[in-house]
Amino acid sequence: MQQRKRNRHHSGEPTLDTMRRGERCRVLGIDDDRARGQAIRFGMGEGATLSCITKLPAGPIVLRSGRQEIAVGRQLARRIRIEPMDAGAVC
Amino acid sequence: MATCHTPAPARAHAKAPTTARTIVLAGNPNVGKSVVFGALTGTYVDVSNFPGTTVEVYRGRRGDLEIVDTPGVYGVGSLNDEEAVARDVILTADAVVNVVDAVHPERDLFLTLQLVDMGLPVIVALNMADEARKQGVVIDRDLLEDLLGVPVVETVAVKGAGIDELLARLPEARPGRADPALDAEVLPLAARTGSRAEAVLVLEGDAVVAERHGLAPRASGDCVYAARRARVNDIVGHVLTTTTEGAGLGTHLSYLMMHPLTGIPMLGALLWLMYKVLGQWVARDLVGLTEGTLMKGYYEPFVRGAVAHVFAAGTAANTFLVGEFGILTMTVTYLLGVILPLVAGFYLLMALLEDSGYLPRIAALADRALTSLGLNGRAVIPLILGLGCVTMGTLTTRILGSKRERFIATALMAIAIPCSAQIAVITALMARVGGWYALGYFAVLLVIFVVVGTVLNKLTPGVSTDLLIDLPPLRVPRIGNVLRKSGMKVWHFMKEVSVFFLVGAAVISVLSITGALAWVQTVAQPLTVGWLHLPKEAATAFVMGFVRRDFGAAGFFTMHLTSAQLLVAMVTITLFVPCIASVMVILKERGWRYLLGLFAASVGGAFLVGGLLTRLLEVL
Repeated sequence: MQQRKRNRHHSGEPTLDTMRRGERCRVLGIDDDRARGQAIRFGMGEGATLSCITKLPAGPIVLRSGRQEIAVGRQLARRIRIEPMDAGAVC
Repeated sequence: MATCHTPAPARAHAKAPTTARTIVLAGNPNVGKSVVFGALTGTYVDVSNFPGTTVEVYRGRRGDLEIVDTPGVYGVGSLNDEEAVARDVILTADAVVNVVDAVHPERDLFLTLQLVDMGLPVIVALNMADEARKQGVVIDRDLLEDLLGVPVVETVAVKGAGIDELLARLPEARPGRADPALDAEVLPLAARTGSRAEAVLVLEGDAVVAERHGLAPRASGDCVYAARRARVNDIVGHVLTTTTEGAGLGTHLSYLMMHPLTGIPMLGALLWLMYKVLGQWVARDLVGLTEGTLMKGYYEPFVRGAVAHVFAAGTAANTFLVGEFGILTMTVTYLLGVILPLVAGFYLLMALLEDSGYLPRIAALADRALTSLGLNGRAVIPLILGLGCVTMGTLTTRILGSKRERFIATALMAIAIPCSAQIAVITALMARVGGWYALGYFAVLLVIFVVVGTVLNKLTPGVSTDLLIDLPPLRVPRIGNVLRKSGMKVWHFMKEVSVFFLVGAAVISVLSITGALAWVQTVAQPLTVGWLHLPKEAATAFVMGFVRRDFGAAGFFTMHLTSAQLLVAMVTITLFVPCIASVMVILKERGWRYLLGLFAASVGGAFLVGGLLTRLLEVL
């Protein structure tokens, strides 16, 4: 499957808020101490594979990690660095 | 020397009698932990606030076992109040029953491995095993048991399945296969802390536990967590097979609930339904029965008669006990006749919402709007509760992530959110004047809500936290569980609020007996008559509004007001200070400086807006 759209780049690495519906990514880092502790408990910490279920207009991004759904505020999503993956790729 | 010392798990904060074994339930939120707790304990349950927090801890018994339920957490540490409470209760455990959601093992096993690393005797209840199979998730129980090194029992707690096996295997609870890589650092630390459990927490950077033992927290948190996450993923990779990807009706509905186009009408329908149930059936019909017929018809005359035998009517003692604000009349009538039915109705609805999984989706929907008020989506929970009772909402602000958010949410509720008792009276009054004025009332409140929030967001120091929540699957709530949960919460709430209300009523009574109340009424008259263009009796309603918000609104019932006057009166009384019970809770939760500021803002704001509205309506 070929890559559809390039994510916007923010200070080198793309961030979670640039994901589009249906895309998958790997988490590279979370620049927020509190959220990092919380995220790793959810299983969406650094290294985790996430898929974007939906983006609410200017609101949170809803992600799937494993079989669970997580909503991430837009501001926080801007502080989560990611590496986009092909939609069909298997992790 | 230190390495040969491998202490038993801590009992540092144990309170239970030494003969009883303390079994602590631990698990993530929404995994059916409270259902397992209910199945294990059955009848007698005691709810208490954990010392120094507003987090509830449930204790029950089964034979000589003391069973303690902890708040649902994704890990143990100092991340928030819930985690800290769960941590401290877990540290008192003789054995931990870790309830794991069989549908989401990759999330839940993180806590499991933390408990195992802490060296605690653990038994895992793999709950909702039926649900998992339905979703095509198969977990190799035997292999999981081997990999964790602790017993694993499959349960379907809502049906009572597996509970007997869980009890039978409870004595087998044992420390599991902890990460050997931790030992090099944990064992020397354990010699200092007295337990492996606390040593692991110190290593993970838990500052509170470290301080208890005079140690500096280590900075290895991220590293330990990452290693643990890798082990979880590895274990899940071995024990889990999925046959289908679960994406059915639930997924679609979930999306509709969160998207503004469909979500806002759904939320509107929900609020309307809540208003119908609480504002009309409960606040008007049921309270009419409990307060009017039961308390005022039978109870109050009886108490008045009884007290009059001892203290003649008209004496200070008589007024104090059974007068207008009497602690035996108004306080009891209010608590049992008004607050109890309202709060019971509200908690029942909230438990239904909570168990259905809708609340977190409302939080996601509202996140964008609340962000501009310095809050995040989670704040909808206290705000919705505040519509029921500001006292209840204020107590719930503890779920917010920062002091700044609690500050803003409390102020918003105290100023701009009418409680359900008040809404009931106000809608009854507004019915007289027609739809446009009623609409005007809600429009003015909405504007005030947004203005207050925006201003506080600009002025309040600090940084608000961002939304990061787990969206549990949508489920049809189990009535038994809903009744049980709301019953416990109602009891807890009533216990908490009764004292505050008693004190408040006593203070008002004293003011009334000494004549201070009449003085306040006279002083306020220029403001009410001169500025708001209301009759001078309005002052009484405002004083009453301080005691009880709906009392204040009801005070206008007997006055002959024009439609415009009524709208002004309703807006002003809503913005006016919160009732005495909320004032006491705000004092307890936020402190007296905050309360004074809030008083100044709400009284000033109420009269400013009321006066401006008067002039605006006169121009129109």
